[in-house]
Amino acid sequence: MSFFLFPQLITATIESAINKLSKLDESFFTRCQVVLGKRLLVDIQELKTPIVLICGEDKITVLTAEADQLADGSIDCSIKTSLSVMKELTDPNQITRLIKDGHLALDGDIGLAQQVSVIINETDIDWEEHLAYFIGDGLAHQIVTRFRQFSDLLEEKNTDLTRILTEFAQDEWQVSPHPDELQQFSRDVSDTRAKVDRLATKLGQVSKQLKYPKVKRSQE
Amino acid sequence: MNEQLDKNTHFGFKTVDKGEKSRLVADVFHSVADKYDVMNDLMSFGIHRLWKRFALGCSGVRSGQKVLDLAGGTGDLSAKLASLVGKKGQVVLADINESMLKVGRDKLRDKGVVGNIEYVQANAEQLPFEDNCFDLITCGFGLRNVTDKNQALASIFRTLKPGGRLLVLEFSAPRHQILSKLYDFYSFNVLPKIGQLVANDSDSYQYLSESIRMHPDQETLKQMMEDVGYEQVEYFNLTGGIVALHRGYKF
Repeated sequence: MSFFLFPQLITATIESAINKLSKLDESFFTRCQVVLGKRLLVDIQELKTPIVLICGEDKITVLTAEADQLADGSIDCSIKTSLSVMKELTDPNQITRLIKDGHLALDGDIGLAQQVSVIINETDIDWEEHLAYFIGDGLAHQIVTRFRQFSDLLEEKNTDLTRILTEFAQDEWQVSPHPDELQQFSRDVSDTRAKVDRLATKLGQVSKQLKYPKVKRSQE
Repeated sequence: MNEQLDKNTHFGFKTVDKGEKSRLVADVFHSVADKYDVMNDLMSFGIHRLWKRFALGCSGVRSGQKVLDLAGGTGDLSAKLASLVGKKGQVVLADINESMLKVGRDKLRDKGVVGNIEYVQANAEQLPFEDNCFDLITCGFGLRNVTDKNQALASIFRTLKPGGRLLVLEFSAPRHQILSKLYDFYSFNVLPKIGQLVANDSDSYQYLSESIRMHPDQETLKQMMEDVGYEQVEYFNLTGGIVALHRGYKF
């Protein structure tokens, strides 16, 4: 029994949001022509209900997924993932890695998933222009520039943090080996193996000699 | 079932001559057409949009299909169906009432929904379409107003393609006593007053509430569909049974 119709409320909200955003980029639906009429099922863990995205001429429709759609082949591609992974999906090169790592499950036409990823990636919304409509050029420019600077700063800090943590793990806490150390270790293992192999060969020769000793025929 | 034998039928809680009913219903819809969408939002607190979304989710509609939106009125379902069937598909918005059809046509044209949509004035009991021509037929909040529902169901059946489905989204019987009582109070005490305030017409909204009570309940409508020949008929209760979606296939 569907009392509050939450899934429908979710799809209505998402549809509204997507369509509003897509209107901010004039080329959006031209770029969407490649996926016209295709049906993409997106199952995001946190949403609890899978949704189907269908691209129309000038709008995206978001529907709830009914059970038989999954079976009867009317879905072209299905993506199963979680919110935290969503951001990485905008890079089409990441898709294979994400699948390998288990953060993303793809079924059906992978090409469609990649096309969608490209479309999102290439969506260029001129926020400054849209904001300027409301608050004027000068202020809009300042706000957008500051925002971009802040965004870059965060990105930089993130990279720094990763680097610092790695160094700490390798040098201070010594819980993680340095790549050079790993290489050395690997070389040492190879050397030891080679030595063991030589030893094994020698042992083999010695035991053969003991079994079948060269008999010295004494000349009498 | 007894409707065919009896010369009379119901118009809300009143009993009227069968011939009269369609004229009375026509009057109601001529009257409400202008404010129809606004009233829908007000009366259902916007939930009617979610009911319609649910129906769309159960429709299985695809690119290139031919769909009939019967009693489509102001075109809510048609607008979405048109986007889903795409350029190669077709939507026929059919309604018996000229005023509703006009509002629907104007609204959809303003929205830019053109090219794959056709507007037809038609009576559900005698659909002017060929046999086996629609992949999907939807009837949103319209069946309730039809004089001979069995005849309408049969006419729909004829025009459905084999493999096609019918979706009837309609008011039905709430499942629980308390909800039922609240709903009755709301329907008979609040709705006609809103109707009077917003549309200056409380009678039409009185008819709305009465006609809902006269409409077959979930199981009865399911049986009616099966009797006509629909298969795999099932219904989904929405908002506690205040609305139900019935779905049946023609094989």
